[in-house]
Amino acid sequence: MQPVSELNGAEWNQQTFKVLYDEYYVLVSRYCYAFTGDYELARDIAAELFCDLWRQRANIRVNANIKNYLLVAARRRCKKHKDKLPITVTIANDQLEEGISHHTPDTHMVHKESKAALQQLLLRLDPVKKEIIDLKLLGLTNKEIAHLLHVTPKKVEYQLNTAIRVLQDEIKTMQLTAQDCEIGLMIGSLLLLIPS
Amino acid sequence: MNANILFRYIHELSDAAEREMVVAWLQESEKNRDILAALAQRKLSLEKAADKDSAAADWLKIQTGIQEAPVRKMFPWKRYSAAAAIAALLCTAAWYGVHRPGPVTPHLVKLATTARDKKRITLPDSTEVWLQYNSSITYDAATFHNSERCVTLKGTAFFNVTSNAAQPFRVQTPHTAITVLGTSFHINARENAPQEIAVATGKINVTAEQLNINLLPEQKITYDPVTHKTTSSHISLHQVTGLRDNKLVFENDDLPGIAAKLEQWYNRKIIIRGTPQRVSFTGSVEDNGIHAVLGGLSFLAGIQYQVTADSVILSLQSNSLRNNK
Repeated sequence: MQPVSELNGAEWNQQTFKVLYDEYYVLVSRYCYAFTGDYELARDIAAELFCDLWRQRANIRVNANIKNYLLVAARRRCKKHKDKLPITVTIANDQLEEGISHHTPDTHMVHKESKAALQQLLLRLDPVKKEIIDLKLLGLTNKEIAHLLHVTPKKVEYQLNTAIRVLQDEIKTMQLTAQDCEIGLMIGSLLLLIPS
Repeated sequence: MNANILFRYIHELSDAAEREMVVAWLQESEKNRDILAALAQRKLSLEKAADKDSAAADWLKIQTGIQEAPVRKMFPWKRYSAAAAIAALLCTAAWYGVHRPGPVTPHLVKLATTARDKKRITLPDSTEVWLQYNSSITYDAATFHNSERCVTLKGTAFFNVTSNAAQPFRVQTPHTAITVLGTSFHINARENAPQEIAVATGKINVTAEQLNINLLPEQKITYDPVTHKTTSSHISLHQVTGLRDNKLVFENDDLPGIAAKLEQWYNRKIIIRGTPQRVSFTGSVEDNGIHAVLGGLSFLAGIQYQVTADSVILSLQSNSLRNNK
């Protein structure tokens, strides 16, 4: 990576800024998506962030780590957006499955169900664990996550391990409910068959 | 299950032992498989938010955003001075518009490239110029069609001059002057470096302090502006036209030779690390940016590289390592 990050913003020119953009734009957009659950919105927020970054470069001085700086900025913006539009998260889930599946109708339904279930699974985690998992999936190291969330790396690791345990427990309960449904269906169909 | 190992597996970073652990864990129960599937799916949907292509598309959007003046933070006097500058610009533009046909007004056109882009330029007489990184070409549009077609070059370029016996084409570089009638040739005229001129087709005349020489196709001269020493040598045609064809051409080059060519091509400092072993490399690499070229070279010639802000570090992979692979 170019040592752009260590400079203060006033010294950026179009080229160094482009390097910065190339390096982090994708990551920032994805991180925004993790918050908003809306692809369009995520990219808008990321683009806006980079625009403002350029406009206000004279006042920017990053002394530690530009990656962290950008992610913190992205986080703040997403939080702001979320406060404005509290519904976004619920919309997001539908859009998700839409994008992923392109199967025949039958398998589509099955996949949709199982995928929805899997998606629901991660939503059952508390926000902190969910965010750590998202960051981990985006390829950040424990140390980077710790820095970003103002906790110790130990805590991040603990949260991750707990998250997996929680997920295992959650699946157990989910499978139970799924079985309940199936039994209910079977009884229902039996009842339907009897009169005929 | 250690979460770190699981995430390393998802990112395809795990070693054999870790992979075995994950596979064992997956076989343990279905819910473990579900967890992995859920995580992998989440990763996919996160990654769908943006990729290289969308980043490139959004860059255009951002650039327009950037170019809007940051009105909010401006001081009033700055705004006025900006307005004045714009007004002045408009005036000059209008003035040029009116006076352009007049043959007396010098109308300098300057075309330049940065460290990141190259340009292909067509001059008013339909001469084509391939301008290399960090180069600039200047000409006076008002007098360009007079008895001589004059351009000034700083940096590296390949010219394909349209033939016109009545109007010789002259290239002025900081240290040399080249006169041609209708040819194609390569010039490397960087400051503080030996000047190189090579011919692809036709005949050119090069003059400089203590130098006046005619060059024929596939001939190349190197002129040192400090000592005024000139050496001429033979050069193959595709080496001359490499710039035009956007190719880096190597012929039996060892590592210092490769480094010298890269240094010239990208105008960056190249540092060679480690003991230079004997390599010889012949071939050409398409120029798709310094990273792509170095990637290709590292694969073809067994070189490792590292790019920093203004320099590139090349190092040879040790032989033992290569044999192992």
